[in-house]
Amino acid sequence: MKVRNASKYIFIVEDDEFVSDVYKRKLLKEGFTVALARDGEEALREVHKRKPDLMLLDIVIPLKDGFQVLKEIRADEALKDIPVIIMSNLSQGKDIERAKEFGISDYIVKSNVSISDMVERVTRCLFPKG
Amino acid sequence: MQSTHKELSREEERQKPPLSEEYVKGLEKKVKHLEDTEKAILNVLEDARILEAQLRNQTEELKKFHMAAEESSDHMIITDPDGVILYANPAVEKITGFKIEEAIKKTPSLWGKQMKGDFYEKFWNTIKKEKKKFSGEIINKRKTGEQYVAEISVVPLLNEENEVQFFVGIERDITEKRKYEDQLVTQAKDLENINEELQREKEERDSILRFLRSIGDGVIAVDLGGNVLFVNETASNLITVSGLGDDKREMKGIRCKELFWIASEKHPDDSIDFLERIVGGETSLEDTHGILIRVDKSIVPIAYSVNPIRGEDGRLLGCMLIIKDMTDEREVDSAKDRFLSVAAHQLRTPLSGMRWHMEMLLDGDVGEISPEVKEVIEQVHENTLRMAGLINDLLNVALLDAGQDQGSAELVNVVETAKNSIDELKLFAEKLKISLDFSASEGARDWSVRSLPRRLYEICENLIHNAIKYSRPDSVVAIRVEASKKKEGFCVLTVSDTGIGIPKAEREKIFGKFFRASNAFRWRTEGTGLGLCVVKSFSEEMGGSIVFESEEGKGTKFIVELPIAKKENA
Repeated sequence: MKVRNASKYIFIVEDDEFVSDVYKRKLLKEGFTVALARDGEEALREVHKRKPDLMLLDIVIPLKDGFQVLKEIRADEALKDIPVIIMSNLSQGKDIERAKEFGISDYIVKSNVSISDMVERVTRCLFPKG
Repeated sequence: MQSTHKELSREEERQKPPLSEEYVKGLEKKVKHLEDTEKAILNVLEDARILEAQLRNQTEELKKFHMAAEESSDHMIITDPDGVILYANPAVEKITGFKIEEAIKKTPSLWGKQMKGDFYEKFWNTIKKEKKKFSGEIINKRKTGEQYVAEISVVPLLNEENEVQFFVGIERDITEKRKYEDQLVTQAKDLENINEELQREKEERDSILRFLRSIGDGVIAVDLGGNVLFVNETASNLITVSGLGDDKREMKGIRCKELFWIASEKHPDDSIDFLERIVGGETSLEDTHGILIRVDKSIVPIAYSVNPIRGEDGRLLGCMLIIKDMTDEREVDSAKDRFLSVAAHQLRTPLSGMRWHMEMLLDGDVGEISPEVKEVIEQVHENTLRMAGLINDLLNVALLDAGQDQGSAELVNVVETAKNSIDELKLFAEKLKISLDFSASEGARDWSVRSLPRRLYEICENLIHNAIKYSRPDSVVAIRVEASKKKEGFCVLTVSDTGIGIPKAEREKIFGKFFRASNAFRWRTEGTGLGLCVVKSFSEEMGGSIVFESEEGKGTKFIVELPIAKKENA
């Protein structure tokens, strides 16, 4: 399992150190390759350098928010097919709707799921057929 | 005669010789006497002529009087001193109904005797004893028996010995006049009453208008032709485009559509013809949210109500539009919205970090931990989850208040959702030694309801959580999904417990925000009092309802009724 995961590069965009630390730790533990960005602009720069297999994107982040990042990625021919899971604590329907309009794989309200749920959903997204 | 007398004296002078002086003197005396006699006779004759003329005049006068009396519309009688009628004019018959022949030789008591005795006493006293004229009003009776009111005037005519020789009585029927006068008085009074009423109505109207003018909401009355009947200041300020120089423009009589339009926020181009809707039979539009578009296309967010104006006979006269400027509320809403985002994000973020770190610890991801440490961390973890639950409750309620569009509804399977929430609460129930008993009627497994994300789950979770929380150890909480017996096409979710129950006095408040029943609080101190409020709002939003049956100390049964969604694509 971990061998399979090692081939997958997950790119985390999360400004909160405490939270990003726990993602990174858990996903590394699961054997994934992980990189991290702290703001929207850094995220866009990094994404151009190396195209991830999955992006975990927070919405409330500095410089450019998650919606803006998502919009720019989707507008970019080379990047538009990157699977994105929104990892946010915004839980209002209109936020979820708006994110879904850009085409996302999942929307996770962080405080409402356990970390193993999160890993499961990430795995499901990366290996849809199990 | 004079000439004869002179001739005679000339003849005497001619026949006789000159006479003695004495004789002449005697003759002269005789002549003088004769002349005096002649003068006296002439005087008498003159007097007789004058008398004759006077008599003729008097006769003439009497004739005139008679004619006048005969023609007069006033009733006129002449009586002897005892009141026996000697003469009656034709008006007597007209007024009293008695023929003149009937009246002659009778007394006026023929048509009298309608007044009290002292009246007649005073009457006779005046004309007979005091021998003065009597004037006054009297009630008499016609031959038909009908009473009439008359003004009478009776004058005694006296002879040279100052005794009453005749009475002349004149009577005028004033019944009609009196009736007319009474009518006038009544009419005047009526007019006065009407005037008073009008005055009162005017005051009432004035005070209503003053009230409407000063009211904080905009009020506009429109007639059936769509013309403005009334605009209060608030409405006028709201409609007026400032800086166009027509700030004080008179709006009365102007077509409503030339002043502003009302539309829904989503379709600003389709103006809402509220008048047409009222004319079309809608009873009222209550507290509808929308926008008001001014002539310069500027927009004001409003809440408005429209009600028909009806006349006393129920006829539709127009409609009354009440507008509330929602600009400030909108700002508050958007501030609240920003606050919600911040609260959600800022509170949840550290919480999720804590939760996940603990979960990693518990999963042994960061190395082995002793059972004791594990136990402590488990408790911290549990409380972190509780905290997340509280934040969810708070956000749910805040979102309800904001009345926001929460995304689109999806089909949610009822039984699956109920089971998911039961699974989630299994540990909690085990800890309190409560067993959960789920059952579903036949076919229930296929039922779905249309729900916004997580709403049905929240309903199940809250009700089951409460049932567990307020039950005594070793009891059962039963959850059942079945078809509604009352409403076709509805399913019923029942959650029943045998717990502490809801006190009778607090039943009305149980769905209120932040309300916790007194016994619930004593039983378990933790809780926000938001769960049932959220459940009720969600149920109603989904087109359903919630009721409960409860007896304090014996248990509670919550019954949620929801419309089963038709699967269009399935």
